[in-house]
Amino acid sequence: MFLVLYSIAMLLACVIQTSPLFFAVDAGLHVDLTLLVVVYFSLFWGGQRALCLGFVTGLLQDALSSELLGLNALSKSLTAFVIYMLCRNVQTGSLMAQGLFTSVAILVDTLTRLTMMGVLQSHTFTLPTVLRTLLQQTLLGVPLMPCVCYGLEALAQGLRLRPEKGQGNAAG
Amino acid sequence: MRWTCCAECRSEHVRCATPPYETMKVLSERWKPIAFFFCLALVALTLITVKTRLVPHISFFESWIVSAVMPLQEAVSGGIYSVQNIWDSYINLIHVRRENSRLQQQVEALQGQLHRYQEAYLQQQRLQEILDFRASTFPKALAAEVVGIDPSQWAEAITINKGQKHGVQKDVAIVTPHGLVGRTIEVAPRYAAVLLITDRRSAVDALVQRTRARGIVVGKSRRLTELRYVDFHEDIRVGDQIISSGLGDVYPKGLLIGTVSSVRAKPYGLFHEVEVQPAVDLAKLEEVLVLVP
Repeated sequence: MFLVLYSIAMLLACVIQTSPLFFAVDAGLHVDLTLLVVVYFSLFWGGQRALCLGFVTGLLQDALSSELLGLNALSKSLTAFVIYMLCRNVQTGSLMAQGLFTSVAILVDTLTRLTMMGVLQSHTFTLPTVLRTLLQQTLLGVPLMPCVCYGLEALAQGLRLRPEKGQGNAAG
Repeated sequence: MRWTCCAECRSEHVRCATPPYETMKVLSERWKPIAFFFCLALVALTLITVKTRLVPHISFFESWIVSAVMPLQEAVSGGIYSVQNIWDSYINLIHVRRENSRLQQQVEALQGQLHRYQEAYLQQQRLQEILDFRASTFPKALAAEVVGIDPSQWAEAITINKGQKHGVQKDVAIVTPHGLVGRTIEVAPRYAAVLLITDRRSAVDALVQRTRARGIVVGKSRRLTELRYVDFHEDIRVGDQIISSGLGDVYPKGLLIGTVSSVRAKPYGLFHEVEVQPAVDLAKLEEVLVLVP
């Protein structure tokens, strides 16, 4: 059942994120929904399971993306790990905590990606582009995170699953 | 001898008791309606004849009749219509609510249908444009539809619904009638990923169409590209059109890439700093052409 929940969440995130109906290829508004899903699983399900899901999610995103295979897998699994480590003693149901962890996740994901691009001497981005993307991701991701948590929480309840953390109070 | 001078004479008697004057009167009474009818028919025929000959003039008689009758007719009709209108509009409203609801639904259905037709019409126009372009430039080109975008916000790529099974290979140019879009970078059996010219990984060898100055168009992301390595001594101006040079065997020569939007001269540099606005609006791509070899 947990795998069903994860599969539905990932499929929805990937479909929405790759759909030209929701996002334009070069428009300013773009949010990484898969990252939000990874953050949700790290916050509420924790453990090695969250790390594995982060890795698989990143790999799936790599497969759909034109970027280097493994780049997202690395950044997403690292993000899942960092969030899991940081939220161990935190009540993850509060909106503030969710917003904070989302910001941290976006920062970790972006920095990992940029570092890897630098190491691999891949194409580089100018600082204004990086800052603009980071800010825009944060501004969109933080308000969206409670909605993602609420939706996935409702889905988990529908599947008769109980999160390990948060006590089903995702919406705060 | 039998007399049949009157109705009574039909009876079985030998001689009628009715006198001759009375007989004539009875005859006259019998033939009177017939004669009257013939008279009227004669008058009517005369009128028809006169009317036929005087066409198209309106006779005085008709005119007079019309002038006399019509105001009355108008008043009566107006009155009837008013009454009918009052009845229909204010009294007889039993089925109006149901009818209104039904019509509302019908209007909504028709509006939806109209939108679909408009969309189909616009799509037909776009496809016609693509087909015309293909017929005049690349007859072997394959039409494809954009079905997805790159999930990463750091990459500018799209997915099209044509792949290996349709003859698409890696590193073939993707165009629209307006200009160059990009090239395929990954090919699946039924789909292909296309790297747009605005992506930072994209580089296209290019020429300034007016002066034939050479350079390389590199993606800058966010709907912009940059023309690099244009010699400082070359003449290049805002509004110049940039085309592909044909070098590299990926992009055919002469494809429009974009228009120069700004030119800056570096004080100590060897090259111009040139920004190029892509000819194609890459955010609104729906159908493209794959230039299969």
